[in-house]
Amino acid sequence: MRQLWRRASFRENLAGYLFILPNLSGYFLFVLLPILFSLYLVFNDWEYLKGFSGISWVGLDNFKALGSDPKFLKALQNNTIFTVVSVPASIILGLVLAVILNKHVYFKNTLRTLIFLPYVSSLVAVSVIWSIMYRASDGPINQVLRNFGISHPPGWLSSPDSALFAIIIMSVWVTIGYAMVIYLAGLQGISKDLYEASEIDGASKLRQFFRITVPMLTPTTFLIAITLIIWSFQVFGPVAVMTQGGPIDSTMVLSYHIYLLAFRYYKMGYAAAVSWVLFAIIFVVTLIQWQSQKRWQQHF
Amino acid sequence: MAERKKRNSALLKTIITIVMAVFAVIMVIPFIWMISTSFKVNGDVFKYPIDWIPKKWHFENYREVWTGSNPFYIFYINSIKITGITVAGNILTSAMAGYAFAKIKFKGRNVLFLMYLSTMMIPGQVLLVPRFILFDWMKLINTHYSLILPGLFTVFGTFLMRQFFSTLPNELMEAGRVDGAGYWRTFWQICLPLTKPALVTLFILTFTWHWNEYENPLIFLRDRDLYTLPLGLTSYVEEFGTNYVLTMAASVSALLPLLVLVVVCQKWFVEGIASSGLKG
Amino acid sequence: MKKAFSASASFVLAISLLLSGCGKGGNNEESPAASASASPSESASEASALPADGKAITLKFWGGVPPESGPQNVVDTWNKANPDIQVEYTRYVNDDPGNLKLETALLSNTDAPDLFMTYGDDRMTKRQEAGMTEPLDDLIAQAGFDVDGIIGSENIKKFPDGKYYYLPANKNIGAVLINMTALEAAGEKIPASWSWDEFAALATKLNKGEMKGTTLDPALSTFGDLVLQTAKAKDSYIAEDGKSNFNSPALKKGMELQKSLEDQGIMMKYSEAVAGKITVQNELLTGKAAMSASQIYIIRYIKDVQNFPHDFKIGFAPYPQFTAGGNVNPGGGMGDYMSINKNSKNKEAVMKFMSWYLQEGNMGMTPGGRIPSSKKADAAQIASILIGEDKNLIDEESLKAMLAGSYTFPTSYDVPVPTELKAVYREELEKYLLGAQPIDKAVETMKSRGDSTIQGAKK
Repeated sequence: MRQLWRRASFRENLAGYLFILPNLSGYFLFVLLPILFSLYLVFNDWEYLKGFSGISWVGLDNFKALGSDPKFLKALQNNTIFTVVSVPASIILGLVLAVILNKHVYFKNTLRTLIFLPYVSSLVAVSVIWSIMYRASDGPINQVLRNFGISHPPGWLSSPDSALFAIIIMSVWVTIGYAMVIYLAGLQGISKDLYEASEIDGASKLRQFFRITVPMLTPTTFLIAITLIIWSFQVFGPVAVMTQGGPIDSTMVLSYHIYLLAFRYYKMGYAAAVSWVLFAIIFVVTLIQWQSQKRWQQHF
Repeated sequence: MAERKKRNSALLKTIITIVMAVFAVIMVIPFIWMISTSFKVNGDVFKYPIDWIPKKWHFENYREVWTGSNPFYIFYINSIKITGITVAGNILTSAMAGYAFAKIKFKGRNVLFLMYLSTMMIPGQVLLVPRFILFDWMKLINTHYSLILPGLFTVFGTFLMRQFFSTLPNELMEAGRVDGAGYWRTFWQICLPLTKPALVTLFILTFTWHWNEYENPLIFLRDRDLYTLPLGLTSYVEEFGTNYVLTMAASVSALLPLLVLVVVCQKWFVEGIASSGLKG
Repeated sequence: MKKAFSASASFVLAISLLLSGCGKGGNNEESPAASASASPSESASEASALPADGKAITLKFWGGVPPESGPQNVVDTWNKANPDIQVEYTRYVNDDPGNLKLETALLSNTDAPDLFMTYGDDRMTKRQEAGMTEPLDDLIAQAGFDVDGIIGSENIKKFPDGKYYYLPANKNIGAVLINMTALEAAGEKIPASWSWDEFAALATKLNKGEMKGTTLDPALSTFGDLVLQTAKAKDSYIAEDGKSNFNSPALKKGMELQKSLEDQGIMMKYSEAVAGKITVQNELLTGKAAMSASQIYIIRYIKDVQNFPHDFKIGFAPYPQFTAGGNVNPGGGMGDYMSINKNSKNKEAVMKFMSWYLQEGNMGMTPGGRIPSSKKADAAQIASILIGEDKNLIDEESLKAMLAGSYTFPTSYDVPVPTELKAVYREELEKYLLGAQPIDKAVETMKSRGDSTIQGAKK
């Protein structure tokens, strides 16, 4: 026993598990257990109003139904557009704002607070506000656009051509603050010496940004990118409050589809199947990111 | 020459400040609408063109919210209690787990972490009913435990802390070991203080989420006296339509503590590692 | 050393806190106690009402109406008179998440509702099929409640086993609400019986400047639905052959009516109304629209001049009819379905309260615009409660005529998959109204999708 204790690797393992134990125990109970149950549901029909007796085995039927579900395919497409547009926009804007507001302005704290404000407020209240701002005929946004001489401003939430982008704009407006705050925290971790050294070498500010700031922030970017991708694939609140997936399914997203299936149509098993497909997609995206982050870090 | 350079950079700084200020104002326009609406009557909410400054200030909306039939202070106290306990506990468990995932090389670390991450990817909607059944069985339903307990262990917190600990140089750990510090002391006395900006970030973010959380409290809590702020907001959803002015007055009230929190936390942001003189 | 100690001490403390948190989880006694003391008014009335032996039953009653719009008064009245049976009202919001809350609560083992309201035949059918509701026949007989005399058995759905699973507490009345000032300016009178074409003509005439001719709350109704119901009041989505009724000429007429009103700018475009969360009270009472096919409930907003300052009267007309001489009342009919939770431990007590509620209690809901379902309720009293002090805002004569009329109320007791059929209708309607497909294509797709949805449910 004593010998075992002397072994460094044993102590390392023990310490590691003791450190994660508090978190892990809660994780198993409150996160993993319900998830495993939802995995079981994938192969079942469950009319949950009947309690556990409402569960009946259907094998792979839920997955077979996916291919002929036009809403699922449309939602998948909308989610992809949503993620591809909103995530890079939030990251880039958040990074630029963080760098600028870290040093280069007066009234830093006030400006940071104002830009972070959308993120801290409740998404439901914010969605209500935006749906009023977006009103096509008498909303303030189109009022301003008309004043600038645009006679046919977009219909925003009321038109299938613009509704998804209206929601994307609002989501970026919300998540800029999130990206900015995490980047600000990340920036504090970069040693000043690095910048001083490169200044002596005569590097321009722009060069410093790309050669020092961006690479040093890689773990932070990884964090922001992963979380934003996950959340953008799960975007729910704005759709539920503002458009309910319409007009003509132009803002139908997977999590709202899942929600309708589960709670309006009581198809809990099928909803679980859609969820696990969504999971698989995000998982693959994350794995790719994970690998590329490793390569990035080796690079430095 | 140096004088001029200084003046130029001051000018540049002013210009950037102005640009940022304009941007910031655009960002907060919806809030200005929210505040202005909270002082109106329902019939004026959708008036065209918009009165940004209400013609008559209806302070009674706030009186109704705070002292009316759904007194807001009860929801306030509940939200503060739940959010406070949850956030404090979550920061501790997350920091520990994040540290282990970043800096202790134990067996199965990567697999376990990936498993952690992947569970963030299941949309919450399908977990709502399974979780309800679990909690009902544990007799947690209609108690604040149903919100506090799961909030103590978050994957996001672990992820965030792991990412920040991983930016700390490994030499720190080695230096600690040379001094004879154990794992706990290295974590608690050397590494944790250096991640203060991350801790503050985690604090603000998780505080925000729990403060605004809607779905779980909706399903888990039943007595109005246990309600949190977002549930309190549903009091103003009428059978046909929403009472917008009261909703907005309540939303402004609910937002204020967060605003104060962000302003206060700003101070700690600035005193980051950069100022504590960490060698890279 | 000291620091290290405090650090490890805090660690131990944290762990024990977590563990005790887990352990205590099983014990939730303290929260109901805390809740009782937190609301002084309730606890005060409870204290005074407690009988000598201290064995009061507490019933949990869930409904969708905010407590301050009636239910709290009703429950308080009951509690004062019945110290042995105390009723606690919990409000759930009648939307998807709110109904989920109710349904999970019904499944729960702790503090489950004893008595609950269901809104809509579709949800009622689901809950009955899932076995959440108690059959009421024995309880009704025990309580001596005269279903036929008070509500009328023809006004309650017959379930396959022939039993009652709910009793309706409210009678909705649909009406076309008209801004009287605009009506007089147009030189028109409130129509007594009219067709949908006449409705469109009046809307066109009332459409002036900023004020649209008509409006609908898109979350509640569309003209397709309304016209279809006036043509076929019973199970309007289902044709006589059991297939979907989406090829009915009435539905087509309603859809075309809405499209033409929208295209002429006489009503707001459907997709804009949906995105902008249009409500009838807001459009009608702020002068944005002159007329709306809606329900009596709007009265509560008409009287709320604090929130909707206005000085014009609102008049009430019966719904236009698809066939001359019809008297269908869309939007009207029995509502507020009261059911007893199958797992309730106090079913007799619940029935006692329910029987009181249906005969007397629900009169307390009238000021909020809910008319009692009881046949014995006094029509003159209802009218005077509805109007209250606001004779200058409500056209008394037309309201009284509206209340006195007898109508055929649309029902959908035997529509299979109603939620799915409604979704089919709404989706194809939206495509038609946005110009993405012509009317014939819309009707054709609706019909075939509707038929296959019904077919799929039968399997």
